[in-house]
Amino acid sequence: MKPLVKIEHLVKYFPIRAGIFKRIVAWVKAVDDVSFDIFEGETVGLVGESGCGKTTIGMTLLRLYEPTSGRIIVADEDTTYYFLPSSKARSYLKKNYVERFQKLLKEKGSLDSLMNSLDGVDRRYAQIFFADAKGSTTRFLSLMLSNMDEKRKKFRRDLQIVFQDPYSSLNPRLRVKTIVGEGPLTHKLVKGEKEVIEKVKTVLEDVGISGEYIYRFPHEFSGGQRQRIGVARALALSPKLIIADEAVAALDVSIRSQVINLMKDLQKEHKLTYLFISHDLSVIKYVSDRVIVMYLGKIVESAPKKDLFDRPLHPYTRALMSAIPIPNPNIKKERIILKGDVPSPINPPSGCRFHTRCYMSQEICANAEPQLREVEPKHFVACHFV
Amino acid sequence: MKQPILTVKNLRTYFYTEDGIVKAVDGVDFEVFQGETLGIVGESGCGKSVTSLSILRILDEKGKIVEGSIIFDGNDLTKISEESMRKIRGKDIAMIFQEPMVALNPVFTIGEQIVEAIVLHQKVDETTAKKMAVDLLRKVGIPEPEKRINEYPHELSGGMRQRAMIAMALSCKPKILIADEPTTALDVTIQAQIMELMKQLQKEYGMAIILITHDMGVIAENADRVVVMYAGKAVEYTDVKTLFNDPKHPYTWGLLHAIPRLDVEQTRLYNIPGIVPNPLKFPSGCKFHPRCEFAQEKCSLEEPELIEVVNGHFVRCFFWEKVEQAKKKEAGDEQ
Amino acid sequence: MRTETKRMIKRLMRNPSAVLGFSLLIFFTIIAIIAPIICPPQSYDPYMIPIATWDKTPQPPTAEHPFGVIDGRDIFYGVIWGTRTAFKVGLIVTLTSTVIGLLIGSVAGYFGGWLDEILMRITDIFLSIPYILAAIVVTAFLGMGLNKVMISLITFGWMATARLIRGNILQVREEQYVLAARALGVSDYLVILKHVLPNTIFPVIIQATMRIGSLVITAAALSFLGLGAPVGYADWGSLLNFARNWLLGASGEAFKYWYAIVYPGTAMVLFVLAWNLVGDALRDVFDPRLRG
Repeated sequence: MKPLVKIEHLVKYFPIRAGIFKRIVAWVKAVDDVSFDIFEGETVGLVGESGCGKTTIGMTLLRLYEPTSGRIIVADEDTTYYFLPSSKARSYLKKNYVERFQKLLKEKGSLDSLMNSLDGVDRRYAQIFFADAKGSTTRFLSLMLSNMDEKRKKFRRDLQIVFQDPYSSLNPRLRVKTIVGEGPLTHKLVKGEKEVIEKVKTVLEDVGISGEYIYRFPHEFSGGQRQRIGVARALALSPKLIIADEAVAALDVSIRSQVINLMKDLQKEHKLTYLFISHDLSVIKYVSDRVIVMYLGKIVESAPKKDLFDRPLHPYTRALMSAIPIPNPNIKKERIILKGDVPSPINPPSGCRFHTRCYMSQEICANAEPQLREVEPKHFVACHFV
Repeated sequence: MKQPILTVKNLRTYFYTEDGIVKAVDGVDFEVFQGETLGIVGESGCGKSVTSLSILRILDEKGKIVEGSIIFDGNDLTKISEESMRKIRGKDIAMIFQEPMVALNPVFTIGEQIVEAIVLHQKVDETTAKKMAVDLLRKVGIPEPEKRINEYPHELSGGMRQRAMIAMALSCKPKILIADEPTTALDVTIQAQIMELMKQLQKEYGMAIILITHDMGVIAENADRVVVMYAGKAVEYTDVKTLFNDPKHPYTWGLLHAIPRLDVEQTRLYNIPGIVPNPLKFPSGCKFHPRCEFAQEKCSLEEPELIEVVNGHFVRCFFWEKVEQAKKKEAGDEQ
Repeated sequence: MRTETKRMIKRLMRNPSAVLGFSLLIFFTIIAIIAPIICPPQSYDPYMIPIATWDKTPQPPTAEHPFGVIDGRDIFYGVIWGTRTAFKVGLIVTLTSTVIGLLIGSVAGYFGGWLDEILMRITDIFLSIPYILAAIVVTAFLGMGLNKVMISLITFGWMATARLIRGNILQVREEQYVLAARALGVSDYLVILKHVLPNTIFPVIIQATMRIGSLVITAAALSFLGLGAPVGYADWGSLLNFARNWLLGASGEAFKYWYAIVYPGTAMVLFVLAWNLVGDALRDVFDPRLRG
């Protein structure tokens, strides 16, 4: 399997401004140096409590927020500069590729050893720089910045999102036909009224809504149906990755299982990849192949589902799991009650961000930040005591 | 036999709106015993919250209790005067809500609000009341209560606010505490803190709790007896172990199979088809029949009664034996 | 849309104050349209109230002058043609100032940053000047006349709209359906046109409707102070201005000249009431929370 999305050292800070001159007085460190891959056809579950940065990752991935730093590679293309104003895109490319390649060339001495030291996008871009552009910065930039419109459109087609709120995620003044048909029309996947209607009907029936309803308004549907329409809107572009941001959190229990089952079926039918963002470990356990646990803007643990749920290693993951009420009165489980609240992401604790609430914390935790390391195959944990 | 401190019989609360009559609660029966937790579980619009508002008689002007009785301390709460009701509210029966920010007044400090609640129902002066308030805040696990008492609701985190509201509800040592989705707005680790706190306080005060939630997990871990509600009606009522081990109503059974669970491996979640019905357009007969896989013609024509099928196990279904067969089949599949 | 429209009308018809508001508005509109039939103009400028008598003391209603005579002029004629003036002032001022406010507010709201900062500070400066005082000063500066009054009312009347639309845009910009549209790759221009504006414009329309009424009062206040329309112009405020000297009545008869105040005053009150009720009704209809 090859990675569809590679997120490298992603950082997203939000400025807090105050005063008449709107000076930046502090930063909300929503996502702080997060790296992970999403492989084709899998479902990655991103779980954590409010303020852990899971939603920010989804929004940044889609470039509804611009990342503060880091790199986002989608389908073997660096997409980080796609939506930047052209001067910023240029300086990004210069800094991340041109200057790096030139420096590397000096270090390695020869072009061959430079090429051998690189892989993936880096290698391809180095080829473009040294071969196609013959080492000229201007030509490299113009090659990289050509066809931006097409690149952006392809990016938009490949990545789609389903939001949490079935009420605010559909424009109340538009009919279902317009809502679902907007994407295909924008990307010229369909032409003319007849094709739009046909397309919308097909996608709606895919998500279990009768094609007769295309002229209805969102408020004529129930919450679960609206959420299906939200899925249909994403599906209409035949995306590779769908980000489901708390997509079932607002639904009633009996409706939630319908939508979860639907999303699983669609995944099989359309070979979709999911990034499933949720605060609910039970849902994550049911839908995911691999799970990433976040706390205060950092990944604390990441593992294949079975490993994570059978053997949670990070104290936070353990506490989180023990906190979930089990719908089975016969099981009396040990509960780890964490003290206090989640600290503010404006001023996260030093060292390990979890140390203020951790039942295992020692002196080192406040001083040194634990790195995410592979303690078992594919099982990564960021804790000093694992 | 223990005497219940609260008995709700055939409660019906209707709302007369401009779009028609909303039968929010349309036949609910249960008993609450001292020191016990009664869970009311159901999906949105099933009437679980209106049930609690009816007990306290804090419905808006469109809502009316049209039938049934709520017996507390020998009095029928549906019949007593508004003045006597006011004496019961907050003193004998207190309530905490899902969103403490709505229930707490933003312009008064936490302390002022608790002191007000104490002075209202107990004959103490303000200084004593203030001391009691500090003690209460300490009891509900708010650190530095002497300082926090002077803070405004917005200065506290969600979990702390919920604790403050519990302190306020407990200020008069109520006999019954109604908790309406007390942890829904909170993160799971905070939810665990609050539920733990409520259990511990229940032991200490010996009060009864009516716990209203949509979360089967919260019910399983905290309730002693459970009412399952659907479309304004109690569809199943029994003790918590029986409900989870031996559900007899198709809705309860479906619900338990529709939730993703940490404790069992699931290949596919059970689908309860259809949508949660609109309270203005409840179906005829059994309200669940359009979504029920065991439904027969009779279900759309007649309304089943809540009947005691086994000792202490009440079910509102004509064909509850069919669920038994499904369960047997399921047990067979697993082997 | 048909069921939607039907539902709206049904909701309006159920609301007695909405029915009253719309009826009053229709009544005034008809009066304004058929003014030349009710009171045929007698000079080249139909807005100038013809002089009935040279006697300056008010004269009570008669068959010929059903609302009486003030300052030698027929009050009935003034009230009827004054309806046209009221519509003219209200609509022109509201439309122009709303358009200005919309422009400034949406530019500030959508683009944000420095532009927003500058535009909003300018708005604040305009808002900090007392409305009536500013209007008086500007009118006095520009000279008398209805057009001058309208210019000054427009100059100081756009700020509320600008703020409202800006706030709404800031709010709608974060709605999930706007984010979803951006994630679909819809261009900024289309996002504003299809998703942002339709969901922000209705509060502005409602606010503008309510403002039409109050603007007529302000214009009348200026006329009452002698700053508005020229002497003899068919305008409710000017009619009240004539009545100023006779407000106290005669000795022993406080209400002797009641007709000088009651007729133009009633017209004005009903006009303002009509627009307010209509604004209220529109708010009920357009509020998506109230939709079934």
